[in-house]
Amino acid sequence: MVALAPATAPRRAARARLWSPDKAPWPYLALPLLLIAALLGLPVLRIFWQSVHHVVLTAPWEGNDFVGAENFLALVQEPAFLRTLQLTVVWTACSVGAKLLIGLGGALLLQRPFPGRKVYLTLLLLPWVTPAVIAAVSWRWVMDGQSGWINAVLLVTGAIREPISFLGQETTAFIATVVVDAWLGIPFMVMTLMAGLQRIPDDIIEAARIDGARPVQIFRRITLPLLRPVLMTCVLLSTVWTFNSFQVIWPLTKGGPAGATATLPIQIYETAFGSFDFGTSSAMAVVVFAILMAVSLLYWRVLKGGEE
Amino acid sequence: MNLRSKRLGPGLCVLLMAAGLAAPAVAETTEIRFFIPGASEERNQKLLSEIVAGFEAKNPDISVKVEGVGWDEAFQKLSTDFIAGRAADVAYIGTRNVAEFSMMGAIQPVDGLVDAATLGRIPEPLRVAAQFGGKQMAVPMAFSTQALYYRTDLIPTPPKTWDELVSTAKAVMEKNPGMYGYATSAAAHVTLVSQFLNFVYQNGGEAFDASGETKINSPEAAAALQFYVDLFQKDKVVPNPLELNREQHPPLFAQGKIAMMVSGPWGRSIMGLDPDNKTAPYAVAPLPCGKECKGELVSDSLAISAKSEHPEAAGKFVAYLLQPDIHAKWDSTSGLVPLLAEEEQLDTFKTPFWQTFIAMKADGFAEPSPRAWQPFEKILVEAVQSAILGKVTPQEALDTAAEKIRKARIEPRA
Amino acid sequence: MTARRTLPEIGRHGALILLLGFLLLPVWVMLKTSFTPYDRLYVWPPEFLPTSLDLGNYARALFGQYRVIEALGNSLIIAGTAAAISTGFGFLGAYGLARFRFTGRTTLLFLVLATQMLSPVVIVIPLYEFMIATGLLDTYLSVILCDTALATPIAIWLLHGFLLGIPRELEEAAMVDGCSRLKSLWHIILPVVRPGLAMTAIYTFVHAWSDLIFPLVMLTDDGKWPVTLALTRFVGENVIRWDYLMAAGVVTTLPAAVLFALVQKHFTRGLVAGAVKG
Repeated sequence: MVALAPATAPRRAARARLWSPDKAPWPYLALPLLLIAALLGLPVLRIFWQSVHHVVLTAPWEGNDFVGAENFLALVQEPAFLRTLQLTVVWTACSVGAKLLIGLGGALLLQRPFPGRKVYLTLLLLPWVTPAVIAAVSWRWVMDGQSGWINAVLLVTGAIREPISFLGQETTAFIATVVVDAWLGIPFMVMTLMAGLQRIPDDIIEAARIDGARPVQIFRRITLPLLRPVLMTCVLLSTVWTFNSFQVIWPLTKGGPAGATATLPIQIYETAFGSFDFGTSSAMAVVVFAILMAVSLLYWRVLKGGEE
Repeated sequence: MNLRSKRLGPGLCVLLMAAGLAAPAVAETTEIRFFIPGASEERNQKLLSEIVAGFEAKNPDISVKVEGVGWDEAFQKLSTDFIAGRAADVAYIGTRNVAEFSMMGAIQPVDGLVDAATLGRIPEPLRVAAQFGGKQMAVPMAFSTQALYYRTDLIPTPPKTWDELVSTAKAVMEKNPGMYGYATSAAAHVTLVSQFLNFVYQNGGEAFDASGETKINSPEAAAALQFYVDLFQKDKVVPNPLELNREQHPPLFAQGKIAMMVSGPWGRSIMGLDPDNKTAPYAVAPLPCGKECKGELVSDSLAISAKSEHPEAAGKFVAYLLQPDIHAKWDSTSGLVPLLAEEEQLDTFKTPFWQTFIAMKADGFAEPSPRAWQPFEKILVEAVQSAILGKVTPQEALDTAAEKIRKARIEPRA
Repeated sequence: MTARRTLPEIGRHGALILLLGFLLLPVWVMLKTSFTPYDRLYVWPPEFLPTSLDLGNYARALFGQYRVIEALGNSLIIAGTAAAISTGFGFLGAYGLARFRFTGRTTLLFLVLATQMLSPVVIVIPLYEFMIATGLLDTYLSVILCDTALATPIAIWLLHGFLLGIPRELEEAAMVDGCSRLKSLWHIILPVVRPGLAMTAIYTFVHAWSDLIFPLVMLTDDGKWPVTLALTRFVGENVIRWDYLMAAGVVTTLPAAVLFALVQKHFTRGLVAGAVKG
């Protein structure tokens, strides 16, 4: 008994330290991580498993053999897949860029209290809560190639003689889907950036203004750097979500015309629930995952670099 | 570990077991689940509850629970349910999906579950379409034909041939600037397949031949695609089809933007206009003929889930739904072309409107049954869209399509 | 003085009105169509304003067989619970990751982010099977858990970003004074990170509110259907009841808008200057 006591005391103390809310992170991390792991752990493992096996539900007699990198190699060798990848990257860049610029602009305009601000803020958030079904459909009504609102206005004012089929041509369809996706994401950008801007102490800005700095200078030298962590988080999250965006393109064009808006999420969906080839669709999902991971690490590096 | 609870435990167990053994003395109702898209729609709710009540009255030991989601989500929901082994006992599916659900082992053959008399009443082309691997995998429940809607005030006689279609369209457009004569659909939607195939079959072509090989790149099919492309690019008698699916034509028709369109009986419901309305008076006529007169027959079927715990009860319910008087109610409420010969005698279907659609049955060809529908649709969509955009010639587009179909192994070879 | 201030003011309002115009265009379409009876939907040229404020569509959509009111209640329950749990868990997780240095911290952070990178399309089926196995199928909890599991990582990342900008000195000063970390968390950090919390709560709420795929797959009992599913009732095989759909849509957007109006003040209040420095 006596010999044991000195040995257990430090271990118990160590355990106590591990769970001390004052000193250790685990009391805070336990619950959230548990929830995430419990629910998402299995699906994630399943996806990785399926990506290296042959899983075609409409051909159960073919079995589920381990195929190693075969699913991935098949993807990489298909020029169509690489084109889709490229399209997705460009589409995502356009949408995130638009969201960032407009979102930042909106946040800057709304950050200081002024009469009517509350009204603007409440109205601003409406796109976000509009159900996707309705948003897609309403935009269709606006952009319809024969009787849409845009065409109605242009025709009636005589700006054009023939209606423009926005969703029926490749380039305009691409732009149209970017517009709708950006539309959906701007409220989030504005809100998050506004909250970030709130944290920049007024006195610093006032001091700079008194010193004679112009608004642009204040923005570049003070606001932007202080906003950086929130900005980077925002852009990163937005990139990840936009890359996986499905709910916007599908109701509008289903990836058409002729694949002009067929991004990776569309292809994943069609492979999974069209061809029922879960091996390949999981492999695609893993590719998406890898790309987004790489992008995130890149952002992280830039963010860390900025902090110095 | 309380001593008291220790003793109570086993005693409780015995009690429960005894109760369990005693239970079967009371008759249990078998509950079967019926999945049907659009179950929550107004007109369907009343109809369904009537039908279910009638069935349960005739079969007191079976109760039916109706489930459903919206049409757009139905396939996703059903597939997911099948994959997870949780599908309803009876499912209302598109006949085009019979092949893939059969291959997935999701549905079971209905022979032995649904009586032969019921099956015999169904028109043969439809019955065959719902077979796979030589077995009857589902029972056709509803089908539709299409006809040509045209403006009676602008077009004295409806066109009967392809050439007349183009000339009639051009004539209307000359007299009514700002209006298109006709409309086609080339949006990525299932209706592209039916619209395009109508022309293919009318020109003497087909999607798959009798042995199941694909013939989508035959000269007849390529000529049909050329005609389809020309309607937009050369003759310019249709609005840009790339953004339109067929169900978007009726609004354009009602707005006076197009003078002719192809649609099913629901075209009338979409417009919300009766034929003799004032803004866009219309009538329906048989589809114009190419070398042959043809129109696609699209059907939906009832399937019994492979994992169903009550297949016999499910079979009884399916048979009930196919009885002529019940089915007539179904067809007239849902605005569908009557399925069974017996129904055609009803007064509701005696109007010129309905008679045209019923007459198109005779010239019907069943929707093709590739082994997987979505990939097939996607391949055709790509072919038609790229031909319309002028990226490839129709023959090239269809050659690529045929190759893709073969590579994807979705030809319906037995 | 006033002359120099009004020009930028006009500019600001102008720009905001343009932005709002773009953002509200579809909302306007929805509003206008909700007052339009079916037979006036397809007129040309299209009407930009409703011809009459006829509430017929609303009556049918809300109280008829479409049961949108009931669905709204369900949505509030699901989204509200998911938001509460996500925000709470998110804050805890963010705090643990922002305030402590330990090996594997960055890995953990990225693992958390990684959950966002998987397409929902491929996640649905395993989660469905999980719910079947745990017997949670067809319960509110199944949808709440799914939404929470997907929203908590975002909450963690959002709040992590906010917390990084709040200097440690803030609670460490309090701890030196004898306060436990938990106490300083509650009394000092929480008020300061309030805009972030409000933001996160809104985000997680909307995320769960707009979710269609999980309720679609998990909930067969249509008495439990949230609004996203209820709206699909208006889409028929060929005919879509736009008039009712839009009316239902308007009613769907209202509660969320009201919620924002209420939560707004938390999220626009700024830092108390002075506490940061020194």
